Amino acid sequence: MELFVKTSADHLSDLLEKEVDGIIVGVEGFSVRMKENVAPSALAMLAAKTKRADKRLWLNLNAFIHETALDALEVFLGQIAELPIDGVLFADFAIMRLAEKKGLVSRLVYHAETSPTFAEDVRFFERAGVQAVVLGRELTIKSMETIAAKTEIPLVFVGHGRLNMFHSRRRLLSNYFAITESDDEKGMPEDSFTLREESRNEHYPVYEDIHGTHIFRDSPTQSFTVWERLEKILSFFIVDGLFYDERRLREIVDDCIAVQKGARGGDIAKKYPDHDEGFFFRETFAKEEEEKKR
Amino acid sequence: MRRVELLAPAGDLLKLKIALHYGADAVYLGGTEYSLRARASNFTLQDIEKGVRFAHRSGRKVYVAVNAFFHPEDAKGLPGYLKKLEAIGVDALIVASSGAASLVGQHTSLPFHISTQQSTTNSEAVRFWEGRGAGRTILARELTMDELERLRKATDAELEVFIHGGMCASYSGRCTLSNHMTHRDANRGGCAHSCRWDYDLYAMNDKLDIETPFSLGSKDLCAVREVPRLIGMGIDALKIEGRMKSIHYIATVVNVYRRLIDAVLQDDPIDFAALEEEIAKAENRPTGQGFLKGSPSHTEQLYNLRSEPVNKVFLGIVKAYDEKREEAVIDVRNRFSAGDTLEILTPAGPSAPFRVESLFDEEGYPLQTARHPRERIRLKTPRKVEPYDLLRRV
Repeated sequence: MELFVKTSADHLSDLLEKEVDGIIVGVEGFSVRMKENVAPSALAMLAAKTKRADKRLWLNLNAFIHETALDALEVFLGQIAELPIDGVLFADFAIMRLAEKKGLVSRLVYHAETSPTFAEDVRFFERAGVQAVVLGRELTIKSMETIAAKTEIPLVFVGHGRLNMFHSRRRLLSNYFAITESDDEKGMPEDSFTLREESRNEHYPVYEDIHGTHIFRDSPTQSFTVWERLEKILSFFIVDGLFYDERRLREIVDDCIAVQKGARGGDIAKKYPDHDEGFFFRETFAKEEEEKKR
Repeated sequence: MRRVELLAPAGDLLKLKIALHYGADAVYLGGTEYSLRARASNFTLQDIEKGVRFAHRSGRKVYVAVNAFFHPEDAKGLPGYLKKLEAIGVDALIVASSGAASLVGQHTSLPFHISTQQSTTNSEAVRFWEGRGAGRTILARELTMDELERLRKATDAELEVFIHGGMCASYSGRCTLSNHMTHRDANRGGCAHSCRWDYDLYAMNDKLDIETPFSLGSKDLCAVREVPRLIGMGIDALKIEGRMKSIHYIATVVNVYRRLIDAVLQDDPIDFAALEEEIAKAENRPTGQGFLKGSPSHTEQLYNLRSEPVNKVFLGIVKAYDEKREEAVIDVRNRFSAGDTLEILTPAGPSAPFRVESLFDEEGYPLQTARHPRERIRLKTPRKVEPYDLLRRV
């Protein structure tokens, strides 16, 4: 299981010195929920730097593509076809369609966050010839194992970090401050806001950008406790660096490398009391009656 | 002008009949399994068959939503279910996931429509799905009129657009608020509508001193004023949301859009305010135009959400009409009495108000009041009515 980290160009040098296998960065205009989105013009240099360190570079093109952005997307995909970019994470099927035209499909990695969720979803991408598929974030470890047993394509999972649970195109913070005529947002860093529902003692980070409003889980996810099981089914494990500072991200990466080398995941997990196991053992229900049966 | 399809929700067999009676060209429904609205009173295969027969008698269509994001344990039996739907003769399937689209192609020759759960926002994605056999793409509700127009010009593929009803606050198919907060899977029919709850907003760990709770929820969509442009640009199908909505709501909303579409196609004058007023009779939530007029401002959001009482009360459904006695047989749903002023909602629109002179039970004995839901009564009406017309209090 190879280790990839979603990060920024600033943190790149440090990570390239570590035993990570690859780096994932965002690109201006085509990426959301990334620590930093680099300019397309900076990618050639970044790719060269990554190659020199014998690492791989993936781009996270996970934004929704609206009609007016299609021309720019096509130009950009033409540009990266010429660069040593090893992978392109995508969620919008416009990227897959244009990648087919440009011979880029074998570099694609499907990453829609809430899907794929069963083997036939994964087989769809297997047949299409993409490089790999990131499994839906709400799957249990058992479901992930079931899918892996029925499919051949390399599987990926975002196993460490604070998972996104909501993305609206609406400007929900701006709208709220407008309706309440509040000045409270003035001077606040964009990552300083959280939401709390009155019956739950949980704070959900929320921020707004040009793509809309994003809300995240209260607790970040860690996978150290299920590392051995993940190693049997995944080809790539992703650490999402969005909510971590440089020092903390370095520690997390060091811990992932340690557990890869044989350290006990359960022991490492104790260093992460503020993290939980996401949906690995947390079944969700399609219907109320199913929930009642449990 | 392209023929445009008015597509209505059907939460059960009666609502299917009501939607078709009031002018829907097609209905969409979900089965008891594999559909996203798990808490809607969904259809058994037997009911789907009855619904298909009923719709096909008048040349209308039935689409079945198979639009959950299936987990391994959910997908068992799905190919067999798809084959049964084909044998029943449904007109198309609505799918959300790539795997479900594949299974439809592998096991049936049915057309499939790409659900709005895919949040398709551009013409290249539409072409992608068209190339994989999709007969139609249901576009994301996040698109403005200008974006829809550009997208329409860029592809000849069949496109469907939502014109009325509740909207996800999130891009559809990408939200897991409900999964995290309640263990109910938003993408498998268990959505707890956490986006409609009240939240407190904190900054730097301090609760902001704002009385109005923070809300993610949006007003329902009402695109009455945008329908002429949508038809003009060549959108193929206009969809009303609401498989869980009432009979009264379905009848009223479908009726308004049917009359509106017909007026546009016949180049008749349109009184938009009157149509909106008619919708308000059955709508218990505020409405807005969503993204159609551009990025929604705070006026499109719901703060301090509360349901408003509808200003018309649905009293009963016409079951039959006795021409000789000029009496309608009514299946009573809410109480009313002799002397009350009522109206009848027909496919042509609401009737003039009339005063109830007398009521009779099924045996012909006079009644002062129709008290019991589901009881049958006879009522003299000022004009001939048809089965499935609705009786409302004015």
